[in-house]
Amino acid sequence: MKTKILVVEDDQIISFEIKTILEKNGYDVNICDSYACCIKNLDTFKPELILLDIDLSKKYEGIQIGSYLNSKSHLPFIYITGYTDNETLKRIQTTKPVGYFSKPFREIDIINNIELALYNKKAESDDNTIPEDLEESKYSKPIKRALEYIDTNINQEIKTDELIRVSGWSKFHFIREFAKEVGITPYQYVFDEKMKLASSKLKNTYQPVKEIAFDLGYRSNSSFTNAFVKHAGVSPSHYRKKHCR
Amino acid sequence: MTNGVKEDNERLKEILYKTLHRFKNNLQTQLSLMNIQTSTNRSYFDDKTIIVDRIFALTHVYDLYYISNKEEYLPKDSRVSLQSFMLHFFQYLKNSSSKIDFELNDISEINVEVDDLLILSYIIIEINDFRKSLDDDLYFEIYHQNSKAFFNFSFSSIKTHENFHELFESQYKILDLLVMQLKGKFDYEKKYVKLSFPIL
Repeated sequence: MKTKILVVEDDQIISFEIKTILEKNGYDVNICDSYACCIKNLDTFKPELILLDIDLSKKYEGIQIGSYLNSKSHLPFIYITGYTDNETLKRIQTTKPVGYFSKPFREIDIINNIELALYNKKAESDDNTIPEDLEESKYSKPIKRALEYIDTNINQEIKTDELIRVSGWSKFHFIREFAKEVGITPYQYVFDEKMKLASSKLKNTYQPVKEIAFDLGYRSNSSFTNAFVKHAGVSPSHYRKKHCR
Repeated sequence: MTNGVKEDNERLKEILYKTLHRFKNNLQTQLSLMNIQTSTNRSYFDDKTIIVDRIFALTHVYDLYYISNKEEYLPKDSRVSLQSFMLHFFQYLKNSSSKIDFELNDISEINVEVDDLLILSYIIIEINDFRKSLDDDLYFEIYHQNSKAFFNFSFSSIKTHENFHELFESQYKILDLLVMQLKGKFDYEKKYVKLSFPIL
């Protein structure tokens, strides 16, 4: 059976070229041009590897997908990028890709990267004897769905109503069960997750504060700064100065 | 003063990164188009001119981009004038052949994204190569309506353009990809083929 590869690239010319190269080399390929399409294809196409353009929709959407894949799945992914500056490389490292290749690329660059990634994946799974889903029973299914929703949409404004809808429970029941199973309220959980991500970005990247605010779904720099001060006791720029390596 | 110098340096760095990024992306597109040409057996009437024309379009788009943004240190608007670009680009094509003509109707206010203009010029280059293979006259009419730009083109020897797609079917893949990238579409009328695409 052919190895399935999902290519997430919004430039039709480049994605067609990659598809042609991969098919010629015996891979089964699907193309996506957006975050939503990629997430949908994880279930429908079930790829074994993903090639991901960083600058999807001209707003670094590829890194958001990378974050999601890193935290939610064990799928290896490789970035395709025209950016090779230190700042971008630091940003992408936090999402733990198995590799990246720079534009302009050659056929051999793509195939070598993919073969190496698939070989490493196989070696890792051969060695890995830890039983899966140890945490399976920790949360009920509706709470798990809500947590997954938060993780997928951490880069956007997340409303409690939406979490309630995803869980399928009533408002009162959801909030009570969430606090019981997770230990904090949904609002506090979303807030903590966003702040964790913000802290990591401030420490490990040179991404401007206003960009981090935007990436986390804040509508203004000041609302993000207020939230961060509430969380860390200092402003984002102060926090960065204190922790910057 | 020191802060000012530091800020200037940061800005220069940002410009450098962006320029390098654009440069690499455009190189990638050129390479991809050449590779797709091979993999889809696209046989151009004049291979060399295709490459030269694409490079001219690329150079010309960025000339316009930097000229129209010369007042700004770091250009924020990535759009340029459709009319300015088309006037120069068609003039350039006409320099190689008198068998190509065009009319621009009321597009002086229209600005188009640099990346879209490039794709558009690559489409025109493809169509111009069809013209060469037919040894025909090619006429373009360009206008806009609401939030769409229209490029109508016709060949004098083709009686009905409704069958234009069939005529070049085996050579169409690159053109299809370019039109998809532009989020546009072709409509085949009797007297012309109409290419339409959204302008923001």
